[in-house]
Amino acid sequence: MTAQLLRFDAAPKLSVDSLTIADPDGRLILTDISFEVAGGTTVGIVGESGSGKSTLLRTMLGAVHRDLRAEGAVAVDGIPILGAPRSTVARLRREGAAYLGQDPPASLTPSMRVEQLIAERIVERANSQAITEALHAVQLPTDREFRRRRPYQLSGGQQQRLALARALANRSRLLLLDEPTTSLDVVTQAMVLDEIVRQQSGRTTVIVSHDLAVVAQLADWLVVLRDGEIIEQGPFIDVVYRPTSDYLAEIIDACPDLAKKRDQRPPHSALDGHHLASALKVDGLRAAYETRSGRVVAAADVSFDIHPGECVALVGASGSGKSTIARSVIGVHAPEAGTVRLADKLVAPRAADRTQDERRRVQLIAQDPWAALNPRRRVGAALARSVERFRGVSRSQAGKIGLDLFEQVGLHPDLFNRRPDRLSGGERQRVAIAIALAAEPDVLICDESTSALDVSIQAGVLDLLAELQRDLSLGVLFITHDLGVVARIADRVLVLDEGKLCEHGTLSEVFDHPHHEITRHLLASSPSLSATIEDRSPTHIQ
Amino acid sequence: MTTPSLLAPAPARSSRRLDLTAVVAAAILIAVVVLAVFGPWFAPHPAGQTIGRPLANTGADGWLGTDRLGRDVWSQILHGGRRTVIIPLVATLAATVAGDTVGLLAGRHPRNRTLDALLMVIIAMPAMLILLLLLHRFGKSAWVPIAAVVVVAFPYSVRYARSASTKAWGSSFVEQARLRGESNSWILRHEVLPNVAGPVLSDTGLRFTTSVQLVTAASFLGFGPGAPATDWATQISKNLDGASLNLWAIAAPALMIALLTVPANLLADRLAARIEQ
Repeated sequence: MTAQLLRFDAAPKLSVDSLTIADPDGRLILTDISFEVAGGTTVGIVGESGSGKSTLLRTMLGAVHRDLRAEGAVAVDGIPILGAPRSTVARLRREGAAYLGQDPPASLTPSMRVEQLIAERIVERANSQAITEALHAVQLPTDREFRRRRPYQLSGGQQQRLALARALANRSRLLLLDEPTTSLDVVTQAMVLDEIVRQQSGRTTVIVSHDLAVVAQLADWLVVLRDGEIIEQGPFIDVVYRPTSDYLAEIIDACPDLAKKRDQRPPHSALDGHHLASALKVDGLRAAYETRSGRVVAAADVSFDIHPGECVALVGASGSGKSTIARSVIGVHAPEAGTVRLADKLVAPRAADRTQDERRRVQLIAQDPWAALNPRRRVGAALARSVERFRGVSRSQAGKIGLDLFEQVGLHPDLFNRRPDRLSGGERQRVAIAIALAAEPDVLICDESTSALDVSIQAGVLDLLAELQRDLSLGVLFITHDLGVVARIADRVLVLDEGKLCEHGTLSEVFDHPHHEITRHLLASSPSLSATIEDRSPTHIQ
Repeated sequence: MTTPSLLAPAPARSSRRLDLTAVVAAAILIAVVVLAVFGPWFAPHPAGQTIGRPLANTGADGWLGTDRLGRDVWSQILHGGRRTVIIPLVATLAATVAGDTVGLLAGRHPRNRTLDALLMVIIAMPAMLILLLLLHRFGKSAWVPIAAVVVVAFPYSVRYARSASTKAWGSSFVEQARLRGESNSWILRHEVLPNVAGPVLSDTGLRFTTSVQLVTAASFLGFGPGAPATDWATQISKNLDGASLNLWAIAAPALMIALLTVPANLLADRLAARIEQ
């Protein structure tokens, strides 16, 4: 009966009407959600983690977790999806819709060849012609050799494209995207977004993201979701230009944006002269690491210094060696050559050979707030232990200092005795910062410390770092691929490419007059909400 | 537009409920161990004493009848428990303490293959062969099966504890601990151990069952203690022929073995799950 209906000939209309979803405890996950998407347009759903945006997207595929109870209606092209028979839902997923989730390459079965991965999704006879078309649509090679490859024989970018080609291979006219670029660096993100933009025409698209700057590049209609309720919705440009809710205004402000550079402070050398002691000085660092595919040079003759109270951003694409440099500085990666000086004093390359005081002076806040905390230890105990070891105080005193630090990083004392799994990502990252501060360091190294966080949470953590840097005269080395973040926090910028520092200067020098091509490429790839809005805004808005 | 049906209070969460399985398993296990350890003191008849005609039915002589030598089955169960329960228990504890210690330390060096080679030598030999060889060479003292089980179980405990701890040793929280100058033993106790306690405990339950199996199999094959000493497996093996006359002579000891191993496994799993939470 629905056999012909689920292959939409034109981009389908999508409607959600009074959708309410509750968990078994009666807590509402989505409350009275209603919106419509006209055929061929794109709706962006924006909200932070836990706002119910993924749950909402999945209802459009007829997927509601069996413990949840749903009411209301979701319809694609007039066909009700919510509560539809399984056969209808199965047909929708197979023929009617293309879905791309977080970390798209993870959807590629490693043992399957490119052509098998595509053929699997083709609804009609999966002949060679159809596979060629699917690959061609996302600008992938179509030759026999390429089609026989397996996912691990493709580059990261090719994997991203293949995942998209696979999702679209059923020629569906409904494209559902759930944070498809969240785990990517800016360069890859820009590539994937370009590809999605190219696929948008003739399709109805729904994109869910916490990042307004990403949604800005795609969406015609914006839905802002908070705690399962629609706070605001309307045509994208109108809504973003004149947000009626404080929440949206806050999100817009929190978006890392190249165009919103922090106030420039005079560089330290000019301020204090060259005789000012540097907190950290790295000279001629050479370091490499081994991967399965061979040796990667992470640092080839890298030199830089950081003064007290200064934030230096180390920028580069994924795999450019940023983390290895950080690990060499704290002494857990053995460099091949080069020296590290802390407070103008030469220290041993290995942390184990450094004194406790030398180890204290430089602290690392790791990329992943989930891996950095022992899941079996209460965060307060971990923090107190760090205080005890580095400040040499008694255990009870360490507990008190720990609570003070907790307050300093903006955490509620109630969380002190929790295990990490009962904290949110932003809270964990604050705990990690508190643990680093327990050592009273001169230099704080933040290795992609905020890239796993929602933009609104990230903004809070960045503000905290800026405040600590100012109040405690901390030197900060901020490692990131996100130039929007750099604009918000850095005094000076170092750009790393293939282990070499190819650009070095103050924030405005580097951003306004980039010399190196890599810098220009990174700048061009960074999504800027204000610039996108400027481009897209019709002339009636000045 | 929310309706009352969606806001109805939810049924109690299963995690908050008392874990009935664990409680029942613990009760059975404690009962069996108590019976085994203190049984000989309140057995109606001394070990090996004939009280009536062989293979009498239940009720006539003793409530479980008699075995093929006319001994009270119930008394024999009470006398045979110590060897069946205590030997695997002691052996498992010794093997897991030793094996887990070595495994937890070895987890620091996941690429070291020397230990693997040594363990392989033991693993390559059939467990039963090791046990029978030792029994044959050193006699039927209770220490012989204990030693055999320790030797057989040790490599598996090492490998399990090592693979469970490798991830923790390589984690960034352990790296942090090193950076604040903690000793290896502090890191082992405070950072690594809490992360592997659950899996290791549940593995211990499995090791215990395997040990019981090994020790009872040896007894069943006739390598049990010499009379009048007895154990449950010996009782099964000796009374097999009389199964049609008094089934309880083999069913009772078989049931006791099951009541020992199944709850032990269940309990270990539940405790592990509780630790993981």
